[in-house]
Amino acid sequence: MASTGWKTNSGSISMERLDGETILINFDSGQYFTFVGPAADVLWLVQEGADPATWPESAEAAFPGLIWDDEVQRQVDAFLADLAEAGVIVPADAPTGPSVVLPADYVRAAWVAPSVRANDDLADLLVIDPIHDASEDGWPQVRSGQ
Amino acid sequence: MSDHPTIVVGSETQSLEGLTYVTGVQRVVREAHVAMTDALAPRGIRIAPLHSLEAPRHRGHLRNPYLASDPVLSQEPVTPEEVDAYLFLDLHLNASFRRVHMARQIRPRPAIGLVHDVLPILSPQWWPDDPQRVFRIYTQQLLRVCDHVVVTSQKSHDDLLSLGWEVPGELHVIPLGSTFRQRAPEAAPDGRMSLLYVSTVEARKGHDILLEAFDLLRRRGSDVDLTIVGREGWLDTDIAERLRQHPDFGGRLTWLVSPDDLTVSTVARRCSIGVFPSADEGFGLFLEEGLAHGLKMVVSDIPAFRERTMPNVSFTERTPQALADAIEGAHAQEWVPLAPGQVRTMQDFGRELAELVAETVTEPSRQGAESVSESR
Repeated sequence: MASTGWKTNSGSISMERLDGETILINFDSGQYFTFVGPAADVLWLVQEGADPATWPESAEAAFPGLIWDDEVQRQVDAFLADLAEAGVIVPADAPTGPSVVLPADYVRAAWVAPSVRANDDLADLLVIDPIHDASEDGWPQVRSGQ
Repeated sequence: MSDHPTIVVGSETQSLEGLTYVTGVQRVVREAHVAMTDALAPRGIRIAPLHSLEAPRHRGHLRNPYLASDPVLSQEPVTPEEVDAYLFLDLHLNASFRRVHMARQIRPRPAIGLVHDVLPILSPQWWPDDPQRVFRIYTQQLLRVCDHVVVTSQKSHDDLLSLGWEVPGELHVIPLGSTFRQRAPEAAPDGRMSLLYVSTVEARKGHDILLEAFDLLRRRGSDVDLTIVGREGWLDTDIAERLRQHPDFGGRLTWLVSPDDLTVSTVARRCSIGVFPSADEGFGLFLEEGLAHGLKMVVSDIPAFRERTMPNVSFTERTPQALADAIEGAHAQEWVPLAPGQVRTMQDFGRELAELVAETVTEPSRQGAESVSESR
């Protein structure tokens, strides 16, 4: 198989987007990720099965002043490699087809290099359960002993 | 009793067992457990407490008689690897969905989850800190592992779909109901307008509007009193302080913070009108419970309440003037007798949920194998 493309590792992850932010949970590793801006958009292009050859057109139409040159391509390739290492995406046949329009669910600023960061703070956030760990005075007061 | 081997359905209760107090979520779980245990035991299906986290067992619930009488919580806990199906009724944000996911990878088995609502995601302004993130993570995990997702109103169903997220499981709308038995009102001896509001005291619930409407009625010369029942919630210390500082506090204005069900029933018996001026609800338990108590209900005109349209319910805009007018209108109207069973009960909810569980765990084609193995 010519694995020149990618697809999401859908059997092991939950990945949903809201207002331009994607939260991704990897059930295999137990890690949580958040993606915003170009990172969320590139991930969306993978999830949608958009033809990688059309990504520059989609991105340039959405990001003000973006020119998808070799440097941007290197940034995206590095990002994809990091996603693969994190178990978020896996190699697949590259899809073909027309370009797609990125979702208009947030106001895009200038392009920045997409990056992968596991959000340890989310794990910390989940340590306090606002439904059950609240004191008799209600959330966000935490029960004594927490 | 069935001749078939017992099917064990693990109901995630690990955090619930540490609680001593009850709000709407805990009430739903406990009432569902009672009704489901009754309905499923003759069919060879047992609901057992599921612990997904390796942690010492809390038994705080034993200090609360209502929770202590939950027929599921009194049993020995089971692990995700031991059960034949999963049930997520509580809102335990730290439940280990990863462990459940892994167990389902090893042996496919069905999972049923209840999404109480997605208001913290759609309207995070009503909650402190970052509820959107916390509830997103919880809801995403729940949706990912569940073959069947239950919501309690068409409104919550529509809210969930409005997120635009993938819902791999089958969606079901099963409305909640009243814990209290339906009864007719007792005639107010002096014709006084006695108002009751049972709800957590928090910004979304509209206590500020109600308090202003109460003042307006007083200024109009109405013979009115108001009883507020509920714990102080979050984000709104101002309304709690306004309640305590009100000149009628302790007289015509009463606030019962943590009464038991018997006290609530007793208070409701002497009230004539229930008020529910909330800005948004996934279901709105007090609407159903107020009707069961024989109250005329004046509620805000929001989608979740519109679904429960029936006699003795009137809708109002969320302004003090409109609410005061609607309360006077309701007071002037005769209470309309309801048919037996017209007010929905928690037993109805539990029985319908039990049917879904029974169908899911006994029909081989619905046991989740496809949804676990298929690539999304």
